Amino acid sequence: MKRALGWLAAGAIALGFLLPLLWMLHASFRPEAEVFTGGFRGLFSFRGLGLDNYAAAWRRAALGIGLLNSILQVAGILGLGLLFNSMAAFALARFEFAGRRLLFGLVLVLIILPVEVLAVPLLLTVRDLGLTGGYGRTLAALVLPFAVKAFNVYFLRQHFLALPRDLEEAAVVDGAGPFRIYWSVALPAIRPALATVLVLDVLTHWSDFIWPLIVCTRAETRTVQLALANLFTQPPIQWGDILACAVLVTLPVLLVFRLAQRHVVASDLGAGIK
Amino acid sequence: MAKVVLENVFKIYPGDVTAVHDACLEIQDQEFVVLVGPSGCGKSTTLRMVAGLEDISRGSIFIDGKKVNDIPPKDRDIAMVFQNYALYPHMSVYNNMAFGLKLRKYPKAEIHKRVMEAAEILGIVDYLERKPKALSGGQRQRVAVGRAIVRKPKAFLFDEPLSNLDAKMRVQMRAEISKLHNRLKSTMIYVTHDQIEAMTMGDRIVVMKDGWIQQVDTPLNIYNQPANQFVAGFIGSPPMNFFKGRIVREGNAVFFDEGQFRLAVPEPAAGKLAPHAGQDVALGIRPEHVHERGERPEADPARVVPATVEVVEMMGSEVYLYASTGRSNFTARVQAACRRQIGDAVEVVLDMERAHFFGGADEKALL
Ligand SMILES: Nc1ncnc2c1ncn2[C@@H]1O[C@H](COP(=O)(O)OP(=O)(O)OP(=O)(O)O)[C@@H](O)[C@H]1O
Ligand SMILES: [Mg+2]
Repeated sequence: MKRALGWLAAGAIALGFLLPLLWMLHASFRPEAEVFTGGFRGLFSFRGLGLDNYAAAWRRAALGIGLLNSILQVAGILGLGLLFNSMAAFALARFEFAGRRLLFGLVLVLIILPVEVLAVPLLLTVRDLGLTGGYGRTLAALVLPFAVKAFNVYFLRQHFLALPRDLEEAAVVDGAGPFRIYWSVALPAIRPALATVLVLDVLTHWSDFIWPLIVCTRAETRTVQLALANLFTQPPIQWGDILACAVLVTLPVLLVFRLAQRHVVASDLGAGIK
Repeated sequence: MAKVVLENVFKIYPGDVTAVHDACLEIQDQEFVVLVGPSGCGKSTTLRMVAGLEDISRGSIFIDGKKVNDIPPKDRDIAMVFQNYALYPHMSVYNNMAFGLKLRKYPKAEIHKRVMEAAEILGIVDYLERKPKALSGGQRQRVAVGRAIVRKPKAFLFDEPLSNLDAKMRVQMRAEISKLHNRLKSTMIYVTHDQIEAMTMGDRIVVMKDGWIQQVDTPLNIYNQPANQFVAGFIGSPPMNFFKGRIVREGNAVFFDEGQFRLAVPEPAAGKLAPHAGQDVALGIRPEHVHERGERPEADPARVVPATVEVVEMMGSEVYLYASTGRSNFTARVQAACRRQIGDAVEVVLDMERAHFFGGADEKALL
């Protein structure tokens, strides 16, 4: 009985959170004139549902190129980030060198600085590097400032630190050098942590808005969020299109989350050790 | 296949912690040497210096005649088995074993041959495609041993490889490692804190304490002629009994005076102890050399000790009597027929021919 009540409560809360999303999904299929009719009760109206909004949104927001840009941006950040952050983390966790503590301290300081504070200095840097204007340059400007992330370095370092020394010493005796140990032993051993970092990065950068707004000066360099925002400012304002666009922009994130979920689980490290 | 030599080796950790003092040791080709001692005595540190995982603070280590102080582990041609197995969790059993060979750029066919050979020897052929996660503790340790075997190294180093296994598995793996040694005929250095493993596996045993090597000898010699009181008490189970007392000389006769009882010391020990008359010593005697009076009816009264039974442990084949003389506690291994109860007064007879005497600041054997 208590159990059933618990389920009921949980279900109600989940529904509460889902309702706006469901409404968005449903309304995105409705004719423009009916988007707002009936409030939440409109959810039960199935008259005239169709894909018109999607076709219009795709065309008007230039979503094809927007999705491509966002995918390139996020993939670039993930790829470079994975390499650089994990290498920095491994060095901070395992190598003895002068200034290591200081360096790590600086990394910690960077974690608390919000992007907004950094935006202007970053922009100046990007401009001075000549990363403005062209398509490739803009892409570089989207990716480079975020490829290395203090939090990821910190997070991965903690996971490297938690690796048993034995594992690395076994590799040393087996004949592995530092890079081989990093690449073939330590990195695979913290796969769950890597998956976590990847998912968080996808979520963060897929919804990047301020920075792309600053650096994406041309229409063909716009990311999805800019494309979506553009629909709000580009008359005529069509709510159906906006909702359809929002759905399309949200889908890839859900997909990534679903795919990565499996990997973001307790590691199988315990098995090699003991 | 190599001789391993330690010459005046020291390990001094930062903060002036000396973990190993002046270790000198010559391990012959094909020998199985066991380093044994209580926790923190420096066994692992010694082994890790041989492996190259720790720097050598002073002294030198030679493998196969070559000084290895400045040679990195991968070029020392040794293989090591760790207590925690240290298998690569994301690699299959096959790849765990092949990893070291791949790094050394062996041809694929050779790698395959060696891995299969090792898997055959260790009985893990059926698990080659599994991840370590899907193996039991004993199987994992076999893989760890396999990873060492495939390399055909000059020397095998083991750091407490069996201490994570349950008692039954431990006994089984103990025998398997011994068999492996006979089969591979290579030099093995084995670290354990378990004196039974040391006794059963080693050609020679190195007993360590507080970073100092106490004694190096064959298991039997260590058991029968311990160099000092520490070794005497560490090797053997149940451990050797010790009585504190004093050497007394009366004419030509030499006695051990405990205060409550006095024991006649027979020749040839008497002659050797005579110069220590008046000195405080410890008499050591193994539980199997302590008998009930009933088992030795004709015993000389000058080797009888009165005591009170405190605990009786039935082992089936024999009985352990834990008894007290009032000043010292001791253990006797007596016949299974013994029906003593807690609180009983007993008289025990000490096999004085088998007694050890330890004295001086370093508690050295006096005989
Ligand atoms: N990195 C280190 N820094 C300082 N002291 C250390 C370090 N490693 C080990 N020691 C000390 O050196 C001594 C010997 O350690 P070692 O690990 O060799 O002992 P052990 O005989 O293997 O013990 P155990 O049976 O517990 O494994 C210990 O007192 C330990 O505290
Ligand atoms: Mg140890």
